Amino acid sequence: MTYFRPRSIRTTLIALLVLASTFSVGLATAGFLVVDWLSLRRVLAEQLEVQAGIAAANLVAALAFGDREAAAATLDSFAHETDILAAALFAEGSAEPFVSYRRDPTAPDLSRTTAPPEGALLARRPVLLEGERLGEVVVLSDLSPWRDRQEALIQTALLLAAATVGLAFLLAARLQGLVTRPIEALSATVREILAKGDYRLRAPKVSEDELGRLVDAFNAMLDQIEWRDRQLSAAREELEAKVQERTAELVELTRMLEHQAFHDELTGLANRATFDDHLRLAIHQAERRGESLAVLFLDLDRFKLINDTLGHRTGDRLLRALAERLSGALRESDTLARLGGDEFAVLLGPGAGAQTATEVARKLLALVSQPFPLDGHQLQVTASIGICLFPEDGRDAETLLRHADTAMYQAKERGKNRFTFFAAEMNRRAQERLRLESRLRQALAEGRFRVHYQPRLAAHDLTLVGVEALVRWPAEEEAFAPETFVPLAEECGLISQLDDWVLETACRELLEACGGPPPFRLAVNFSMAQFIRGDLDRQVAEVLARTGFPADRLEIEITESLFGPGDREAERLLRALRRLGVAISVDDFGTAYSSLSRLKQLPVQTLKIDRSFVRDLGRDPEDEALVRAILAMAESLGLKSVAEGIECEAQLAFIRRHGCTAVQGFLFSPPLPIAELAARWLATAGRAP
Amino acid sequence: MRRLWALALAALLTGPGLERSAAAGEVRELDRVRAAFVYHLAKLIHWPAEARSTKAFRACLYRRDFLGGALTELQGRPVAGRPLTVEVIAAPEDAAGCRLVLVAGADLATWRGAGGAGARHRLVVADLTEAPAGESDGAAAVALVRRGDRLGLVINRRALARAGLTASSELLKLAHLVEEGP
Repeated sequence: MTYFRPRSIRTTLIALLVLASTFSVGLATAGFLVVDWLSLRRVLAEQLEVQAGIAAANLVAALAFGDREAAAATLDSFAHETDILAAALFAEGSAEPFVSYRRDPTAPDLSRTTAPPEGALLARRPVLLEGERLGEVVVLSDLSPWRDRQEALIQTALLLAAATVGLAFLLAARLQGLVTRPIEALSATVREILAKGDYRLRAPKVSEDELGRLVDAFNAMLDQIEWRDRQLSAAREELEAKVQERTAELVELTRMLEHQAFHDELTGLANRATFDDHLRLAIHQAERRGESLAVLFLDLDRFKLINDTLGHRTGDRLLRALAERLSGALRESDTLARLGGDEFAVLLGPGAGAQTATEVARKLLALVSQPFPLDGHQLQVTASIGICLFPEDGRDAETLLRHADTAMYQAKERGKNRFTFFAAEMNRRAQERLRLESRLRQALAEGRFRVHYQPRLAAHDLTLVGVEALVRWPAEEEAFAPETFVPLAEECGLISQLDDWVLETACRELLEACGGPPPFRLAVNFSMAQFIRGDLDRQVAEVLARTGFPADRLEIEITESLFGPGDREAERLLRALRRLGVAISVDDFGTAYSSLSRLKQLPVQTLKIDRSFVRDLGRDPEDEALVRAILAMAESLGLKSVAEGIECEAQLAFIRRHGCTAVQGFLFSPPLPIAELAARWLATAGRAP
Repeated sequence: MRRLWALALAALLTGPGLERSAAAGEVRELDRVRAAFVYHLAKLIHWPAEARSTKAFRACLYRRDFLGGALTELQGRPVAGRPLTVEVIAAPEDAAGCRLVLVAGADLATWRGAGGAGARHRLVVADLTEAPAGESDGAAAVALVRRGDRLGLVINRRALARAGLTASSELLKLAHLVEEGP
């Protein structure tokens, strides 16, 4: 039964071989039988024709001489032929047979027109004498012996065919092993490889035929697989190592990202988000325990100046050093965070009240004010601190931080380098500041500012040598002093726009009032923000070109802040302005950090002594000494000097006595609108009033 | 009975035209049968090539047309591939050119007396159907004889050989063979 297992190559092979044998034998047998059937029948027909022909030849004389006996004797010779059923000789033109022969009484009578009955053959041959037709011989043959023979032949052939098929089956069952054995060996090898995973195994080669080549190909494929398996294992090991390495990197990266998410990148302190979280948590705990909290908002004073003059790198180093210094001064339970820029926040608690906050604030201010040794400099900075208490000044994190910020601004307004507790009043002022900023933007957009001009006179004869352009904001309901809105414009980033507007307006108005280039100088204040822009010289040149104002009649007033060391960009811009022909003067000289060597390097022509020194002349010997020193220094450096804020004759006299070249102040004239300036001064330009 | 046999044989040998004229008389029919015997006899003899080279196959009746013109009716029909012509000769000397000489039984002695003998390639047929003895006595190679109510042939093989002729096997099977004469 195993031979008929379904879907096996063995079964298929046997079936194919048996089928092929059966088909071949069947076809051959059928062909043989058909050919034999047809050819034998034809042979029989031909044989019958020959027999009839012989009879016809033998019957010529008998028919020619009418010898029935001889004719009958000739036909009777058919008795030896068992197939011949009947025969008859017909004389030409006669329907009746001359003689006839029948094998037995059942044999049919023949006539001239007898048709061959079913299962019989009929032959007709003429009896000819020298081509003359004497009559005809008709012979009828019985086909049944031939048919019996054919049937026996078919039976024999079928038996032989069946025997052949049986033999083919036995041979196929035996020979299929030639094909299936190598395949089974191959299959067994595959199964063993699959079971063991051992690609070193090889299939045995048992023949050199197609199966042998299949085994060769299979083994070659195994070579490849084995090689690739080794490659794969190596690659897998390498990959695992890389995965481990990458995982470690990712873990480290995750740790770093987590750190970055909660810490300030520059200083490593907590960032704003972390501070907010800590503050919210602390508020929650303080509320439950009925404790107080304190938030300190710390901002460096004039940090922008350090950044602008010493560069951002120095600024960043300062911030890192500051963070380190502040961290060391706080407790573990406190939270110190950098909120951004130079803003720091400290959360004190739990239980920290006004007293603790005051102590900490003082301590921090003292730490900040100690010099920072950076890049060869001893940087001296101060800070302003705003303090806000929970629950008095706010009950949520956002409010507390905002109020601490407000208090810090208040500390700055009060003169910096100090701390201030939040008071409700501060909120109102902060809101006022916001309102003012909004109006400032609107006024600038709508051109509501005006330029007033304060005359600058020669000290010795009080003739007009110049005017200082000063911006004014004549609002309808209230007037805003320049001391209020100029710093605000600086904080809001509007100062450059305001300065540009003043420069261009002053140039136009003076040209118009004088009917051409003025015979004196126009001094215009430029804030430090102007020098942050790299294209200040181009901007000034464009204004001069647009208005037609002569460059040698223009003087730009800068502040001492620009004197910081290393600010090559500001120096480049000043020299560019000088090349245009514009004069440079230093405003409010003596109030801030100054380096004489730096002053000497810069292309400055004039020093303006700050009004705070002039105010106390005659009363404060220190100020007098300072003014004398400034004037002496200006003279020795070959610089002109201008004294601002001259309000009395004594001040004028002091100034004149010590060689000041020009004066400016209410003693001579307040800042005037262009019309009044024109009316009162332009007519006397260059002469004493 | 004889009449019926003669009628049937005449129809067999000569066809419908002859059959119609058969009604003329019994003697006449017998002549025709005899003429047909002679005609078929001539066709069953193997004639030499020279016989086939002549214009016609001449059949001669000695002294008279004792077949009553029956043989003449067969003129034009082929014998040895040549058309049959029939004529009457008066003496054996006239037989030159005759392939077949038919001698009535009554004239046989005359024929023999006048020196009629078998010549080479000439078949002498004696009609002994009217003679009582029916002996040709070697004068003729073939004799037409009566056997009961049937006609028969007697072939003298020696005479036939002398004439340089042979008979077909079929003819030999039917005929009575004798070897007489010198």
